[in-house]
Amino acid sequence: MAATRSDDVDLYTRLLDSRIGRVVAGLIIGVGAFWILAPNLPASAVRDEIAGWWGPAEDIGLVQDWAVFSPNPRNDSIDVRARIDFADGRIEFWDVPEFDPGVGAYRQYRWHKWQERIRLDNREFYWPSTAAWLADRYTRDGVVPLRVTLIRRWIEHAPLTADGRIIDSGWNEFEFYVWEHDR
Amino acid sequence: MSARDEFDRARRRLFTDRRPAWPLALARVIIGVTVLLWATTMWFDVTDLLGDDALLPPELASDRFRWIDLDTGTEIRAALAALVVASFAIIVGWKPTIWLLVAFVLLVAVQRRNHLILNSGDIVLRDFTLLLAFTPTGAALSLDRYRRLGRDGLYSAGRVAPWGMRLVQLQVMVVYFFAFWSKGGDEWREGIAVSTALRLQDLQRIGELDVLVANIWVVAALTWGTLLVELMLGTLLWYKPLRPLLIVLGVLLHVSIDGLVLVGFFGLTMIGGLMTFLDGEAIERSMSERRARQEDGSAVDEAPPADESEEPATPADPATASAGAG
Repeated sequence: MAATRSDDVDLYTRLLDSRIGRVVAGLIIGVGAFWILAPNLPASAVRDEIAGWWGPAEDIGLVQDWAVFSPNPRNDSIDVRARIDFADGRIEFWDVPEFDPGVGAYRQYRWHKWQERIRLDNREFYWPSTAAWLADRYTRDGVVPLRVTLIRRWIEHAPLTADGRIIDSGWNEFEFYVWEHDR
Repeated sequence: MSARDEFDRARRRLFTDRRPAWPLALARVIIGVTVLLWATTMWFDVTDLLGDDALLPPELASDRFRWIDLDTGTEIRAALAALVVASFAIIVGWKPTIWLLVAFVLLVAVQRRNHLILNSGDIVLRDFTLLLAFTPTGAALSLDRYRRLGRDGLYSAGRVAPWGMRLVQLQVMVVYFFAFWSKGGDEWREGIAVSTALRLQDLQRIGELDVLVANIWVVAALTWGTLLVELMLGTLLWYKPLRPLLIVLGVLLHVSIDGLVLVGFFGLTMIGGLMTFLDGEAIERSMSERRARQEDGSAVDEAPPADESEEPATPADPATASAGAG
């Protein structure tokens, strides 16, 4: 027999038994629905006018941003690496860690997301601390690297052609930040 | 029936008419598992990504409200350990509302320590964690219910008002609809976007499969199929007759994307959200039938064989009875 008991009613359902409870539930639904829907409005004057109304939602952590692979998927594969130069002429390279495609995939995406963002020119205020962190990691027996160069690398992917040809460039490179040890 | 009556009926159906809490319980379990996996995978990268000596120093953490400032590796690990505890409580249904709120706060606090590593899956996970806290997720399949009602409580679900669940469902549909809406580029229109997306090496999970990136028929089917499924999930999930098909399509979409692309916990989280669209009454019927079959089975096992029932009463022989039942 299915278990039933007269007191087997949860708080959320009991809330509807009173007028004030129904008002509270209505407010939660109204405000919640607005906070979910409104931030997704297309860019417009109206959106700009009311943008502040969902500020509290974003502040507490209820954020809306579902534009994935849009309006098109980006057309370049991305990599960020660092070249570490030492005073004795040695050169080493740092790449983000690579994990297995099984469980490791659930760690890998975070590193790749970091690469995707750190390479952008509008994130330049993160570059000095990134390079300093790498210099610290490559400091051995008190010997600090001479220079850390952050390099963005990318492959350009042309759209698939009508006859099914894939045209991808080779790896391109650009040194976007150089940190030098202040001796 | 007057328009007013129709409106009242629709309003009651949408917000107040009670229904079994199975869908909410299933969503709770999946979101709990996702939080558990999120926290445990994050644990391994605390030093490099979140600690006081991490790639992103604490002073460059998100300037948004963080609930709790977690700036050292020890603080972050404590928060992740608390998240693991919260996730177990959510999975087994021990005071899930409280633990969902705890998980939400901790997720925001940890995630805003390094906002450069987040993807949509991380965001939607915390959104669902918060929204589920406004629903009676513990009214089925929960330790709380087991403690109140005993074993029977696990085979049945409390009947709950669905008003809070509507926000979770709205969030699910909004994700799909705006994922569709934002894909207005020429590559999506021309049916070739999937080829480009699957060639992005930094997003590949298992490398590149030629047939998925170079065969124009397969690529077009996948590209337009993705748009179609996203549009349907974003608009038709509330249409009951299509719901089972759409849930299956949604799960297939996420499983296939997850198998090919590094999307983190997006797929699993959305599958959790899709569970809220399951038919609670159908699950309740199925569970009742299962329970009834089990009870019938145990009644047959316990009943004496018919030819013995008319025999004069004799002392029961446990060994014989056991062998007969076997």
